[in-house]
Amino acid sequence: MRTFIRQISSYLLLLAVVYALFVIGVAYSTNYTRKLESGIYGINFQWGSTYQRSREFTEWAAKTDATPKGLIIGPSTAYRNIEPHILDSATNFNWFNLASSAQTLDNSYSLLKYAVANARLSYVILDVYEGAFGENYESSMDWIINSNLSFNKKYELFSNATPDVKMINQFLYRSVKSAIRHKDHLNNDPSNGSYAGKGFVCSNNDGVLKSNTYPARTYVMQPNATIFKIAALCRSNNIKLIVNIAPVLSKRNVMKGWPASYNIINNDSLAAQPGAYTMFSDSHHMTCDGAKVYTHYLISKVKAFL
Amino acid sequence: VLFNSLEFLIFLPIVFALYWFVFNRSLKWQNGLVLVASYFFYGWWSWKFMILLMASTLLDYTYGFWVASPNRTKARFFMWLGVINNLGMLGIFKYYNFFATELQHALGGVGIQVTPVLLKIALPVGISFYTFHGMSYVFDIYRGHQKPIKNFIEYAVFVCFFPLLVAGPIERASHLLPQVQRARKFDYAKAVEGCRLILWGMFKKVVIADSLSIVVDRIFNNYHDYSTSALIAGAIAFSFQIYGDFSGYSDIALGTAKLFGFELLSNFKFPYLSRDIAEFWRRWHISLSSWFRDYLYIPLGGSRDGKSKAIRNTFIIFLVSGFWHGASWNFIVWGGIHACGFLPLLLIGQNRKNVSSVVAQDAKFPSFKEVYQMLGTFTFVTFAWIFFRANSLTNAVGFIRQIGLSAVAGSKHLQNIPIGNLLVYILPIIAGDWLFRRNERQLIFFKNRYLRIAVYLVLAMCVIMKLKANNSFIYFQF
Repeated sequence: MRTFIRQISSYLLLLAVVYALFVIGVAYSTNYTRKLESGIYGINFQWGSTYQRSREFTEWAAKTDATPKGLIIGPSTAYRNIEPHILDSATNFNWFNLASSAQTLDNSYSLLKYAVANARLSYVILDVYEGAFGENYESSMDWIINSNLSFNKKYELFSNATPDVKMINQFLYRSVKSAIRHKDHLNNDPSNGSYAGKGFVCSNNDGVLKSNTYPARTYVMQPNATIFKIAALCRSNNIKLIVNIAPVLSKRNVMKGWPASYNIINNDSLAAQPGAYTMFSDSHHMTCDGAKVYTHYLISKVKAFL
Repeated sequence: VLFNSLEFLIFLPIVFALYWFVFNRSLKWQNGLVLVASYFFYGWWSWKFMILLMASTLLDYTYGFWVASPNRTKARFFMWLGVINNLGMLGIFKYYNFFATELQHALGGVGIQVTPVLLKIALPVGISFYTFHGMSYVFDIYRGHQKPIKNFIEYAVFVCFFPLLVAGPIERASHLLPQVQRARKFDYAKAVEGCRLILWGMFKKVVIADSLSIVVDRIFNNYHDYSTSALIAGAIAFSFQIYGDFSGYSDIALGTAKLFGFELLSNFKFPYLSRDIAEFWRRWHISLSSWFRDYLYIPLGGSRDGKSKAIRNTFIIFLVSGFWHGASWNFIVWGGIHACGFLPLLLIGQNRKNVSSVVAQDAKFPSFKEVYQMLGTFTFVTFAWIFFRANSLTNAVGFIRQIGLSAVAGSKHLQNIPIGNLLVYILPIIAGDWLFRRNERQLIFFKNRYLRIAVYLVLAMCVIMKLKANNSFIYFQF
């Protein structure tokens, strides 16, 4: 048995060394070619311009003028639909959209902690849709691959998702890559849209053609423990929290158990308006023009809580 | 817990350590640990169906005592009751919806409209395997090959031993139970062999089968869009996908069992090196084909009572084998095709021609005749796999028609696939089988130490880079 354990341990140790050398080799090779990296780790498209968003956020957070700052967090229903520039001019605050693709509530909480540590925030709009209550690979991997977050913060996001070997591989590779000399490369997804600054992405897609494209459905939305933690974090930092329920075509949200202090905006009536479908490029995301109309609509609601 | 998951990578070392370092002083404790680990392994997927597994185990255990009765009438009654019980469970969970809808179609054909109540429950993983374990126990006691086991835990370990619980190999009581009852000592050579099998099995599943499945799924789900060469390549890719998937699972199961001091039945012996269909069935899913041979074909008379009965019996076991895989006509046709391939050999007395030898037994390379025979057998098997893989019989026929249509109509607007990419995955499995064809126990063992270490590291690296969550094994659905 002792021989067996010793042999297995030496093989595992050797494997770890080979693995480390392999990862370093692949990461270093990106200085000359990307063929090795894309062949082994795949081409990881930016799901929603997180590369630009995270770097711009660092600059935005560092600004220390007197204008109060507001942060938008949540999934793609926030970074595609809520235009911070319009919010800026209507509220005289300085808004930034730190939402990202499929961002789960756990990741929203992690990112909010990061934002609170780096910027003096006065307002937070937490954009919520039913998918944010679960967990998914994309939400964490997007930040691990594309952002300029520290290793610890990336590890926190990595821990928010159920780990699988693919994710561990990607995490280790990206961590090693960021630690050694390498070239940054952007893999823009042409269907993703155009990054318009302040975290907002303007969709390139056309509007939905028919009002009955999506079946009518109802979703009972209840706050979970993470939402309570987000609210507590805001409270302890004197930040006003506004929970914005993302409008989704043909969907009605039944809100249950939400404290009034969360300043809830339910946009079901907007999505239910005749002709609202033309604002959307699919059931959840808006066209570039639709996002502008929606943000103007949102201003009147947000202003009531400011 | 799936073998190709992070959970298993944690589960296995923990159970191994407890088994050899904590519970090693008592066989009872070791068996108890194996049983608890096996229930945990199964319950991780569904604790509700774990109760079904426990109930099934308890029933077959009880039948064992009754079937052992010296009163043959009583013994026969309980033997049949055991069969009905096991087949009844399979019938409810696996076949009820099939028969109900077929009956609905048949009655609809004569103008009687009925709407059957269909069950909306998932098929319990491994039900086809553990019910067959139970039946083999009851049959063996009835035939006097096995005595009923008094210790329930020992019997439960035989049925539920986690490496074989969800997709076999289908064990025999007479083979596994004595191992459960015997004190086990750690065997270095066996454990090393087990590790090699696990590594090679993982490689076949994670690197080969899962990679090929992406191409196979695309082609089989959209066969109208593909050229003749792409469709043929897709069918060949599936042949290797299912081989990598299922034999990979079996290798991991055998390897894991070895780590705990158990020897399970071999399930695969390089089937694509077979020179005829009879040899293929002695090398493919051996535990199932031998189960049907011993408990169905031979009791039916086998080939002893004339050619007409031999033909009947051959068709029965192949059709039942097809139906065992799934409640769908395409599986039954798949079995029928294999029966048609096997029968000529049986009728001319050539079905046991290649029993004891492997291709190129004493040579480095096969003769032209052997190459021709292997290619012929592989082509036949691949053709039959189309029926196995297609989502329905209509799709299988459509797929085969499309091969012809694409050839006639030309392939200007049809998609091709890069065959070279497929070869990258297919060649290692062919090379592995060829190199170690004379002794499956020496899989991926090279005498040169450095070559051996290099091969292990390359295989392990490939597995690490390709491992993904939620890639289940094909045979889990059976």
